[in-house]
Amino acid sequence: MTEYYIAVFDSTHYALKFEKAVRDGGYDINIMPVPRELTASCGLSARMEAGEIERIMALAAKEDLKVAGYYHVEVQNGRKVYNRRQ
Amino acid sequence: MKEIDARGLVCPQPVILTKKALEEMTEGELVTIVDNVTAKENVSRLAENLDCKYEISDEKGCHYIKIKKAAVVQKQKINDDSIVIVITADKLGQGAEELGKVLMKSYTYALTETTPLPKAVIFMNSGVKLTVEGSEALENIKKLESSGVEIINCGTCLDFYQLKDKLQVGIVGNMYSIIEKMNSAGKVVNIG
Repeated sequence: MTEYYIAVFDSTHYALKFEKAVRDGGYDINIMPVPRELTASCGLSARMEAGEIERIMALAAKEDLKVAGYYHVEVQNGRKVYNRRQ
Repeated sequence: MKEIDARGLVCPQPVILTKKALEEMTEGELVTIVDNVTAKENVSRLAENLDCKYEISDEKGCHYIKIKKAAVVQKQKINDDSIVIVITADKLGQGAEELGKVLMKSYTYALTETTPLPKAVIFMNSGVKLTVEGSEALENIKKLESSGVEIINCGTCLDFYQLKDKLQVGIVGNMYSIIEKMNSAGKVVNIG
Protein backbone atom coordinates (compact mmCIF):
# COMPACT_ATOMS: atom_id res chain seq x y z
CA MET A 1 0.00 0.00 0.00
CA THR A 2 1.26 3.44 -0.91
CA GLU A 3 0.31 6.40 1.20
CA TYR A 4 1.27 10.02 1.26
CA TYR A 5 -0.14 13.43 2.12
CA ILE A 6 -1.03 16.36 -0.03
CA ALA A 7 -1.64 19.96 0.92
CA VAL A 8 -3.96 22.25 -1.06
CA PHE A 9 -3.93 26.02 -1.12
CA ASP A 10 -6.17 29.01 -1.74
CA SER A 11 -3.51 30.80 -3.76
CA THR A 12 -0.58 29.89 -5.98
CA HIS A 13 1.57 32.23 -3.91
CA TYR A 14 0.78 30.30 -0.74
CA ALA A 15 1.71 27.08 -2.56
CA LEU A 16 5.07 28.49 -3.65
CA LYS A 17 5.82 29.85 -0.20
CA PHE A 18 4.89 26.53 1.39
CA GLU A 19 7.06 24.56 -1.01
CA LYS A 20 10.08 26.75 -0.34
CA ALA A 21 9.72 26.70 3.45
CA VAL A 22 9.23 22.92 3.59
CA ARG A 23 12.13 22.23 1.24
CA ASP A 24 14.35 24.61 3.20
CA GLY A 25 13.32 22.70 6.32
CA GLY A 26 14.93 19.62 4.80
CA TYR A 27 11.79 17.67 3.89
CA ASP A 28 10.83 15.94 0.66
CA ILE A 29 8.15 17.83 -1.19
CA ASN A 30 6.79 17.58 -4.71
CA ILE A 31 4.58 20.10 -6.43
CA MET A 32 1.76 18.53 -8.43
CA PRO A 33 -1.62 19.59 -9.82
CA VAL A 34 -4.58 19.30 -7.45
CA PRO A 35 -6.15 15.87 -8.07
CA ARG A 36 -9.47 16.04 -9.89
CA GLU A 37 -11.19 14.44 -6.91
CA LEU A 38 -10.42 17.44 -4.73
CA THR A 39 -11.30 21.04 -5.28
CA ALA A 40 -9.37 24.10 -4.33
CA SER A 41 -9.21 27.47 -5.97
CA CYS A 42 -5.51 27.17 -6.73
CA GLY A 43 -4.44 24.42 -9.12
CA LEU A 44 -1.26 23.48 -7.28
CA SER A 45 -0.86 21.04 -4.45
CA ALA A 46 2.14 19.65 -2.62
CA ARG A 47 2.87 15.99 -2.06
CA MET A 48 4.70 14.91 1.08
CA GLU A 49 5.87 11.70 2.70
CA ALA A 50 3.46 10.27 5.27
CA GLY A 51 6.29 9.84 7.79
CA GLU A 52 7.17 13.51 7.69
CA ILE A 53 3.71 15.06 7.79
CA GLU A 54 3.55 15.77 11.54
CA ARG A 55 6.83 17.68 11.47
CA ILE A 56 5.85 19.53 8.29
CA MET A 57 2.50 20.55 9.77
CA ALA A 58 4.28 21.80 12.88
CA LEU A 59 6.68 23.78 10.71
CA ALA A 60 3.79 25.24 8.68
CA ALA A 61 2.00 26.29 11.88
CA LYS A 62 5.15 27.84 13.32
CA GLU A 63 5.91 29.78 10.16
CA ASP A 64 2.26 30.74 9.69
CA LEU A 65 2.06 29.21 6.20
CA LYS A 66 -1.42 29.32 4.74
CA VAL A 67 -2.75 25.91 3.84
CA ALA A 68 -6.35 25.30 2.80
CA GLY A 69 -6.23 21.66 3.88
CA TYR A 70 -4.21 18.48 4.21
CA TYR A 71 -5.37 15.17 2.75
CA HIS A 72 -4.19 11.68 3.49
CA VAL A 73 -3.96 9.70 0.23
CA GLU A 74 -4.05 5.95 0.17
CA VAL A 75 -3.56 4.02 -3.04
CA GLN A 76 -5.63 0.83 -3.00
CA ASN A 77 -5.56 -1.40 -6.08
CA GLY A 78 -4.63 1.55 -8.25
CA ARG A 79 -7.44 3.69 -6.86
CA LYS A 80 -6.78 6.67 -4.64
CA VAL A 81 -8.74 7.28 -1.48
CA TYR A 82 -8.60 10.81 -0.08
CA ASN A 83 -9.28 11.66 3.53
CA ARG A 84 -9.22 15.19 4.77
CA ARG A 85 -7.30 15.69 7.95
CA GLN A 86 -9.09 17.66 10.61
CA MET B 1 30.93 -4.04 -49.28
CA LYS B 2 30.86 -0.29 -48.96
CA GLU B 3 32.87 1.14 -46.10
CA ILE B 4 32.68 4.48 -44.33
CA ASP B 5 35.65 5.38 -42.23
CA ALA B 6 34.33 7.88 -39.72
CA ARG B 7 37.19 7.54 -37.26
CA GLY B 8 38.26 10.87 -35.85
CA LEU B 9 34.91 12.42 -36.76
CA VAL B 10 32.54 13.76 -34.14
CA CYS B 11 28.76 13.62 -34.15
CA PRO B 12 26.72 14.20 -36.18
CA GLN B 13 29.26 13.61 -39.01
CA PRO B 14 29.31 9.77 -38.79
CA VAL B 15 25.51 9.71 -38.82
CA ILE B 16 25.26 12.09 -41.79
CA LEU B 17 27.79 10.10 -43.82
CA THR B 18 26.08 6.79 -43.02
CA LYS B 19 22.65 8.17 -43.81
CA LYS B 20 23.80 9.55 -47.17
CA ALA B 21 25.48 6.29 -48.13
CA LEU B 22 22.41 4.26 -47.17
CA GLU B 23 20.20 6.54 -49.23
CA GLU B 24 22.42 6.05 -52.27
CA MET B 25 22.20 2.27 -51.96
CA THR B 26 19.22 0.28 -53.16
CA GLU B 27 20.26 -2.77 -51.21
CA GLY B 28 23.30 -4.44 -49.70
CA GLU B 29 25.66 -4.00 -46.82
CA LEU B 30 27.59 -1.09 -45.47
CA VAL B 31 30.17 -0.83 -42.71
CA THR B 32 30.70 2.36 -40.73
CA ILE B 33 33.83 2.55 -38.60
CA VAL B 34 33.81 4.93 -35.64
CA ASP B 35 36.10 5.43 -32.67
CA ASN B 36 33.78 6.72 -29.98
CA VAL B 37 30.80 5.33 -28.12
CA THR B 38 28.44 8.24 -28.81
CA ALA B 39 28.96 7.84 -32.56
CA LYS B 40 28.48 4.08 -32.26
CA GLU B 41 25.16 4.57 -30.47
CA ASN B 42 23.96 7.24 -32.85
CA VAL B 43 24.81 5.24 -35.98
CA SER B 44 23.12 2.16 -34.49
CA ARG B 45 20.05 4.20 -33.70
CA LEU B 46 19.98 5.49 -37.26
CA ALA B 47 19.99 1.91 -38.56
CA GLU B 48 17.24 1.00 -36.13
CA ASN B 49 15.10 3.94 -37.17
CA LEU B 50 15.53 3.07 -40.84
CA ASP B 51 14.42 -0.49 -40.08
CA CYS B 52 17.80 -1.90 -41.16
CA LYS B 53 19.44 -4.85 -39.49
CA TYR B 54 22.85 -4.15 -38.00
CA GLU B 55 25.69 -5.81 -36.13
CA ILE B 56 28.41 -4.21 -34.07
CA SER B 57 31.91 -5.53 -33.56
CA ASP B 58 34.56 -3.83 -31.49
CA GLU B 59 38.21 -4.03 -32.44
CA LYS B 60 41.18 -2.15 -31.04
CA GLY B 61 39.06 0.67 -29.63
CA CYS B 62 37.12 1.06 -32.87
CA HIS B 63 33.54 0.07 -33.50
CA TYR B 64 32.45 -1.52 -36.78
CA ILE B 65 28.76 -1.18 -37.45
CA LYS B 66 27.60 -3.45 -40.26
CA ILE B 67 24.26 -2.30 -41.63
CA LYS B 68 22.13 -4.32 -44.01
CA LYS B 69 19.72 -2.52 -46.24
CA ALA B 70 16.87 -4.56 -47.64
CA ALA B 71 15.87 -4.20 -51.30
CA VAL B 72 12.39 -2.95 -50.57
CA VAL B 73 12.59 0.45 -49.02
CA GLN B 74 10.37 0.37 -46.02
CA LYS B 75 8.55 3.55 -45.30
CA GLN B 76 8.80 4.76 -41.75
CA LYS B 77 5.92 3.44 -39.80
CA ILE B 78 3.60 6.08 -38.51
CA ASN B 79 1.80 5.14 -35.40
CA ASP B 80 -1.22 7.42 -35.21
CA ASP B 81 -1.83 6.88 -31.53
CA SER B 82 1.65 7.72 -30.39
CA ILE B 83 2.40 10.98 -28.65
CA VAL B 84 5.80 12.61 -28.53
CA ILE B 85 6.34 15.52 -26.17
CA VAL B 86 9.01 18.09 -26.85
CA ILE B 87 10.08 20.21 -23.90
CA THR B 88 12.15 23.17 -25.03
CA ALA B 89 12.61 25.10 -21.80
CA ASP B 90 13.12 24.49 -18.10
CA LYS B 91 10.11 26.68 -17.36
CA LEU B 92 6.57 26.32 -18.67
CA GLY B 93 5.39 29.35 -20.61
CA GLN B 94 6.40 32.97 -20.42
CA GLY B 95 5.84 35.06 -17.35
CA ALA B 96 7.13 34.95 -13.81
CA GLU B 97 10.16 32.68 -13.57
CA GLU B 98 9.03 31.21 -10.27
CA LEU B 99 5.64 30.28 -11.66
CA GLY B 100 7.13 28.83 -14.85
CA LYS B 101 9.36 26.53 -12.82
CA VAL B 102 6.58 25.28 -10.59
CA LEU B 103 4.23 24.73 -13.53
CA MET B 104 6.90 22.61 -15.23
CA LYS B 105 7.27 20.47 -12.10
CA SER B 106 3.53 20.12 -11.86
CA TYR B 107 3.32 19.23 -15.56
CA THR B 108 5.98 16.51 -15.36
CA TYR B 109 4.27 15.06 -12.29
CA ALA B 110 0.88 14.96 -13.99
CA LEU B 111 2.45 13.39 -17.08
CA THR B 112 3.53 10.36 -15.02
CA GLU B 113 -0.08 9.82 -13.94
CA THR B 114 -1.86 10.33 -17.24
CA THR B 115 -2.62 7.54 -19.68
CA PRO B 116 -1.79 6.83 -22.39
CA LEU B 117 1.80 7.65 -21.63
CA PRO B 118 3.74 9.39 -24.39
CA LYS B 119 6.06 7.29 -26.52
CA ALA B 120 8.92 9.68 -25.95
CA VAL B 121 9.76 12.94 -24.25
CA ILE B 122 12.45 15.03 -25.90
CA PHE B 123 14.36 17.71 -24.01
CA MET B 124 15.91 20.57 -25.95
CA ASN B 125 17.58 23.91 -25.23
CA SER B 126 17.19 24.78 -21.52
CA GLY B 127 14.77 21.84 -21.25
CA VAL B 128 17.87 19.67 -20.66
CA LYS B 129 18.25 21.36 -17.28
CA LEU B 130 15.30 19.22 -16.17
CA THR B 131 17.10 15.91 -16.71
CA VAL B 132 20.34 16.70 -14.91
CA GLU B 133 21.60 16.62 -11.35
CA GLY B 134 19.81 19.04 -9.05
CA SER B 135 16.62 19.23 -11.14
CA GLU B 136 13.47 19.22 -9.05
CA ALA B 137 11.60 17.44 -11.84
CA LEU B 138 14.14 14.61 -11.99
CA GLU B 139 12.11 12.08 -10.00
CA ASN B 140 9.10 12.60 -12.26
CA ILE B 141 11.17 12.12 -15.40
CA LYS B 142 12.88 9.02 -13.99
CA LYS B 143 9.44 7.61 -13.24
CA LEU B 144 8.42 8.18 -16.86
CA GLU B 145 11.52 6.36 -18.07
CA SER B 146 10.91 3.40 -15.79
CA SER B 147 7.35 3.23 -17.15
CA GLY B 148 8.80 2.72 -20.63
CA VAL B 149 8.80 6.27 -21.97
CA GLU B 150 11.86 7.09 -24.06
CA ILE B 151 13.70 10.10 -22.69
CA ILE B 152 15.85 11.81 -25.30
CA ASN B 153 18.17 14.70 -24.53
CA CYS B 154 19.58 17.04 -27.15
CA GLY B 155 23.34 16.45 -27.09
CA THR B 156 24.17 19.87 -28.51
CA CYS B 157 22.17 21.49 -25.73
CA LEU B 158 23.77 19.45 -22.92
CA ASP B 159 27.11 20.40 -24.38
CA PHE B 160 26.24 24.09 -24.64
CA TYR B 161 25.14 24.31 -21.01
CA GLN B 162 28.11 22.09 -19.99
CA LEU B 163 25.77 19.56 -18.42
CA LYS B 164 26.88 16.42 -20.26
CA ASP B 165 28.47 14.84 -17.19
CA LYS B 166 25.51 15.77 -14.99
CA LEU B 167 22.85 13.93 -17.03
CA GLN B 168 20.75 11.68 -14.80
CA VAL B 169 18.07 10.25 -17.05
CA GLY B 170 17.57 9.20 -20.66
CA ILE B 171 19.78 8.94 -23.68
CA VAL B 172 21.64 11.59 -25.65
CA GLY B 173 20.25 12.11 -29.14
CA ASN B 174 21.20 14.27 -32.08
CA MET B 175 18.99 16.43 -34.28
CA TYR B 176 18.44 13.59 -36.79
CA SER B 177 17.17 11.10 -34.25
CA ILE B 178 15.04 13.83 -32.68
CA ILE B 179 13.46 14.77 -36.02
CA GLU B 180 12.83 11.13 -36.87
CA LYS B 181 11.14 10.63 -33.52
CA MET B 182 8.94 13.70 -34.04
CA ASN B 183 8.05 12.89 -37.65
CA SER B 184 7.06 9.32 -36.96
CA ALA B 185 4.72 10.25 -34.11
CA GLY B 186 0.97 10.53 -34.48
CA LYS B 187 0.99 13.71 -32.44
CA VAL B 188 3.74 16.02 -31.23
CA VAL B 189 3.11 18.27 -28.27
CA ASN B 190 5.45 21.17 -27.73
CA ILE B 191 5.94 22.42 -24.19
CA GLY B 192 8.24 25.22 -23.22
